[in-house]
Amino acid sequence: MGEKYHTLEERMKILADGTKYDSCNSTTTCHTFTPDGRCIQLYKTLMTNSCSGECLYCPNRCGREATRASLSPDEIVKITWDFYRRNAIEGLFLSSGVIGDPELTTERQLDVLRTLRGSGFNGYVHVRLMPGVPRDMIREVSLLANKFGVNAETTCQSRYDEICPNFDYRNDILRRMEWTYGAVRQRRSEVRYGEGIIGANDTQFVVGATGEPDSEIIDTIGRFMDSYGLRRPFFMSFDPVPDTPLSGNKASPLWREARLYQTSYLLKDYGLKPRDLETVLDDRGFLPDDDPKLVLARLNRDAFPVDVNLSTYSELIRVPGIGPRTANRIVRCRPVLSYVQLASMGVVMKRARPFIKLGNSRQTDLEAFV
Amino acid sequence: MIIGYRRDVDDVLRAAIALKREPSATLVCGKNTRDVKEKLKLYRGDAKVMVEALVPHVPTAVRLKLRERPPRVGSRCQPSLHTYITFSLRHRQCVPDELVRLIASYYPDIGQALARKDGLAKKYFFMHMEVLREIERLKAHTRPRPAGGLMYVEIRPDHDVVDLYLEWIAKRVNDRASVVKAHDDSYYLANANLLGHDLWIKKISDEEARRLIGDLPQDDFSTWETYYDSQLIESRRNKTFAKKMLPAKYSYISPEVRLERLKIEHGISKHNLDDFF
Repeated sequence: MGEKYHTLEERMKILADGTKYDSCNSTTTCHTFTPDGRCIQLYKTLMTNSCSGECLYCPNRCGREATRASLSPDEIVKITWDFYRRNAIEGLFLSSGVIGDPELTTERQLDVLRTLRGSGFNGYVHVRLMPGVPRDMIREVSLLANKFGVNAETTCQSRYDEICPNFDYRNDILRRMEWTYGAVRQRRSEVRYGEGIIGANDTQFVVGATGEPDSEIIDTIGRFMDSYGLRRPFFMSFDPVPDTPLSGNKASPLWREARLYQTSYLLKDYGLKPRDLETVLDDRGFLPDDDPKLVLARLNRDAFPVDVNLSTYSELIRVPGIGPRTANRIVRCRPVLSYVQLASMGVVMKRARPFIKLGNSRQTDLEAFV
Repeated sequence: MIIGYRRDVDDVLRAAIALKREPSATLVCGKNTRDVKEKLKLYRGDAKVMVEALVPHVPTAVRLKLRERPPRVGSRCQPSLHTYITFSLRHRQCVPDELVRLIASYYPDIGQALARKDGLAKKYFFMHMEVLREIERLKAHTRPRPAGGLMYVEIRPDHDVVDLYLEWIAKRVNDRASVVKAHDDSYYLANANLLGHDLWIKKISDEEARRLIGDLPQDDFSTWETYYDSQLIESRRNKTFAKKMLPAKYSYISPEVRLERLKIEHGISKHNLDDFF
């Protein structure tokens, strides 16, 4: 389907609209906030929304009646620089539909990166790679981007075949994830911290498109973290798009996405393994609409309350309201003498109080609370 | 005795040591040596001295304490005493003599000032935090605009942080010079070396500024507005949270932030006049 003429602003609007569901914020400064409360840190755009893929859930799938547009690498560079100089963004998030074949698309993404970095751009760059991207291009992307990765979309070969018939899960996704991890490791061995860009790998899941339970997603994240050094999984709730084969399916609730993010932090920052979270899941393998860490603590009541001054770091981080940073502070600043001191260290007392004690002082009874 | 000192970390420390030796001394603070000397002339009596004559060197033990960082307690890094004094002095309500007395009361264990044990120490701690927040706000929400091949931005900080902002903008927009207009109608040029000046940051006259940026064009941020509007997910609109994240008091920082705050309040209109016709 050919593209009609659109002005630069119109094309920008169409393509930025295609990435608004993507989560990719990784820098610290929030320059502004949208009316839905999300902060804007990056210029998020697709290079084109024309795509040769026929993914069943995707609004940009080949053959769907939609306004098609694209931005040239120079235009993307110009807009990024303009926003960056205006101090409206911290960097660029670049994704794309597959133009012809993955190699050509990645080559165009690389054009953007080369021009940007070549012109002295020091901001953050996050690139979504295409399934089936060649290995040498992954290597080149790793030299220029701060974060990059291929979208896994779902949990296994059979589910992937259901929703993305044009690509092969094992070859186009898993093998590419292995290569991205290899590129990251190579970069880490070549460059010392602070002396150049050391990228990290990420991936994204479409939650609820194929009816996969959360247990499968959690297992997959655990596997990816072990095998491919996955730094950050992103989740996108499935929302049925009109005129797509999955338009009749039910949308995945937003809270599911939020609970999966919380679970992924438990795996990433708390050192938990998927098997530790099995008790949190219901009989069908889904997470409840509650903080998974709190649910886990309630299910292991015999492990609480923990004495703040005597417990180890690994015991402290299992308390709801105490994260890795706070647990670290507590371990370093012991003895802690009062709850006020704990609160000033960053402990969320509202959640932590039933699960901790200071000497002999503790909340009346955990049973009374839960 | 009347002791004159400059408004910087070194002289504040010296003045604190001098005050400890001469508790009945009167303190006179000035922006620079010339300012201090002029102020000292207004006082009668012979015992008028600059602080460096009384305390030529700050003891090494005290100097080392300046950079010591207390362990992290709370959600933020704890400031060193150097940061504490530097930023407190920049606060618009800072009374340097009061700060000197505070430091002198803890001397030689001056690090205790950071423990916020008394009201005065607490007051100055909050002042230093306010200044830090002001800088962060400016870094996040000011929007320089292109003008005459340079960037131009107006800032109206409550505290004395213009120099810090200039250093930051020179690094941020490192390929172009930036003209910064401060609240007192003074103009500064960041990355002045790119235009052949010797200095990196330079104060310039308003004529020079006008020559550089020409007639200031009407700011055109329609491209940014288009992008901003495209990022809203209408079904997830959360006015209360968004208002908390971008409070109305930030609106003074830039026209873009003012407009974005309005959009948070009233929503983004999907229709324009063209659609009607």
